Amino acid sequence: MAEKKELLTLKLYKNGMVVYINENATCKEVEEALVKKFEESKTFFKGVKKIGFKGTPLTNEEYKSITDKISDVLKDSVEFWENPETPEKTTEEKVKEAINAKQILDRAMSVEAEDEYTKFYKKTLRSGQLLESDGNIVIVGDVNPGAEVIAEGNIFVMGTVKGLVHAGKSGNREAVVVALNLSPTQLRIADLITRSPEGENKDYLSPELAYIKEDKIFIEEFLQKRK
Amino acid sequence: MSKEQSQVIVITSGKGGVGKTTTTANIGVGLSLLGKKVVLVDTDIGLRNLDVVLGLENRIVYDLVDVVSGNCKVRQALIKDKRYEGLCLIPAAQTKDKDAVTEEQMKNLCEELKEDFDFIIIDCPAGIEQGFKNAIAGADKAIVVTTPEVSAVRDADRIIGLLDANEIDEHFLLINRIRTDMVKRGEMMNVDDVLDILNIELIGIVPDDENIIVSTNKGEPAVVNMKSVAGQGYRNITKRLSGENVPLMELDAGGFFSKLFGKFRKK
Repeated sequence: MAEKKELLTLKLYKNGMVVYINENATCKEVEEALVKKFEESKTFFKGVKKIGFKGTPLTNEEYKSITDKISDVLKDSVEFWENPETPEKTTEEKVKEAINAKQILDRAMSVEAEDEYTKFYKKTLRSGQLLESDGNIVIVGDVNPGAEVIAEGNIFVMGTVKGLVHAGKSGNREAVVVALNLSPTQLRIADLITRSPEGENKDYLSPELAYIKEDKIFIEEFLQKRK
Repeated sequence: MSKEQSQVIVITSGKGGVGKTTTTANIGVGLSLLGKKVVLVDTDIGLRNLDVVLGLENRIVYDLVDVVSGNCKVRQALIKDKRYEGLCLIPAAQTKDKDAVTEEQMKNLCEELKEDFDFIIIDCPAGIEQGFKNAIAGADKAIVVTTPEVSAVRDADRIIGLLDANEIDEHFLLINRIRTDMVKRGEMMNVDDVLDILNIELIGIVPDDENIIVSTNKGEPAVVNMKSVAGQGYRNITKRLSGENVPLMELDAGGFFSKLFGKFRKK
């Protein structure tokens, strides 16, 4: 059986804490849950100066009852926020928001993508050579400057990309490009185009993943660096 | 001479002016000095100059087009270089164009030359059109000449791709006109940078050398000049082609070239 949905979410910001109350949570439940949380880890909440509420609106009575309870439990002087402002995202949130590489890969390599035809090429693609596929492309070798790789789906290169790569050529914005070293002349995903930063010349291998988020191509390392 | 042992080697580059013809002349003369029977075939029809570099221009009677079209026998077109025993040249035609020869004709010619020579060295024209296709048609091996410049390396990369597509898998890289002083200052690509992109076996390096220009103008390849560093580079290459294991030449750059030398030996 699925776990019961959380009644509330606590989020810490620089200037205080905000309690996000989920839908379907009754005032009583919220109150109990909060008290329980605070009692369980008093020390953790000690530094919290301000507490605010967001989400399902509370009536005045509910608000008073909850704030009283919390003051009781925490004993410290705690202020309550009428209209909590959360201008800055917590780092925790940022991390969550930047969908991690694994999720992007999961999305790009969904069941449909797996069913797609995948073309394998086991040599280095040299200047003037063009490799095209209606599905995905996997290259074991480099993509040299002047070479082009164009796929409807994803492109994976077990080597260095210095040429042009275009994933999701007919507009599949979920397509990704993965390479052991990504320094393409041009990288295209669906209808977006980007270039490698000028002057940067990487000769070390740092596996990278290129994907689209919010109409922009992002490139990030997807393996933890070994120390 | 057993036909199986003779090799047809095409000298190619894609880009013009990197030293294909000079390389062909030097390797040819170098091999003949090692006692091999060598024939050089100039396939740069319409822009012939291998004969000039060798100083044999005034002895041309028949050319490549005459041979393949049956105007003369192969033996009639062979120009023997009297200075170097065992060295012959089949010059290109100057008044025709690249379409005067077909790939099939080149294949047949190479097979025929294999009967009498250890090495058939083909000087390929620049470009990737018909002239290139003709030049590689009968080749077993290829030497890709490049200089340490981005444009030359790019074209070499293209050529290697085309050689692969034509199933000439045995290809070697010759890096020409390396200037050690510039490499040291970081102003010129070094051998590793070039190998990084092209990723094929290195047959040798030839340092930039003013003697080359002098000897080319005189019609005497640098390979016979014991004082020339470029000549030394070519002598090493010819030894390697004939099966000897020679370390890469070491220049005053010391550490840099000795590193290379280690790298080459591993292969």
